[in-house]
Amino acid sequence: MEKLFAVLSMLANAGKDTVFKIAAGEEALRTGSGRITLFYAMKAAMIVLMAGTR
Amino acid sequence: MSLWYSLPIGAFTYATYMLALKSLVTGYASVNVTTFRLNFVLSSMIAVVFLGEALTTRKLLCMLLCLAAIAVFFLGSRREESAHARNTGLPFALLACACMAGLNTLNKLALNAGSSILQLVMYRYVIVCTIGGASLVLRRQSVVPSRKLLASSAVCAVLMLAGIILVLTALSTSDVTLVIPISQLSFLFTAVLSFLFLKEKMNMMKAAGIVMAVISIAAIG
Repeated sequence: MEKLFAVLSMLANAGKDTVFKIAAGEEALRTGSGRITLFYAMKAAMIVLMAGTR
Repeated sequence: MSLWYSLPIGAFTYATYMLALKSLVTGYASVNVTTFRLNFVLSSMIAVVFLGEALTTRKLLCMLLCLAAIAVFFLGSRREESAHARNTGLPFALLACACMAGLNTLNKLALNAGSSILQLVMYRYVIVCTIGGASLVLRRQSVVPSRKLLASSAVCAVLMLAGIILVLTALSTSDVTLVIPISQLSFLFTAVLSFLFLKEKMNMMKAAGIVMAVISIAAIG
């Protein structure tokens, strides 16, 4: 079961890197600051939501 | 204590993200993501040199193999026939890899100094969002995201969080030496997805570099 979780984690990371590349157009550098702000704000919101549901 | 360490950690996180983004804009995901993921090995090198961790023969061989993989990627990039096909993003991927290794080392130093994990994570988010927000204001860019930006950020955030939760769940009942190398091998699947969905071309140099990277990470675990 642990190996399955590790493999699923690997697939999630690979999916994230691929979406990252698909979304990375020339305009991405211009909007990079907005992207990272949004990305980290969303992650923080998700953690807070998850903590709240437990 | 956590806040002081979070300041450079936040700055390194921001720099790593922007460099990784720059490397993907002007290069191949199959090569640049692999190079970036080799930060695992570079972190080991820093730990040996600056933190006094033991240098074993296996670690040394893995580090040499990792350097060889990067050299093969560089040689492969120089051989590309056209300027369009040349992977000009590779130097940025290397810089992102170095920043990530610095980040790992700072995290280790912060934890050694007694910082709280939760505080380190949350302060880092706040600092990164502050730097990003300040950059938006200075560049006079809109703080309202486009639909595409919103969607890609949400998908990346969900996948990254799922990855972290899954790896922590696996670590709760299994050994680090088993879980971390498996999770670090994600670049192999990124390369496969890049060939399938991004139509990137495979050549001998790329294949050799990816194989070397897989062996180095599998062995260091």
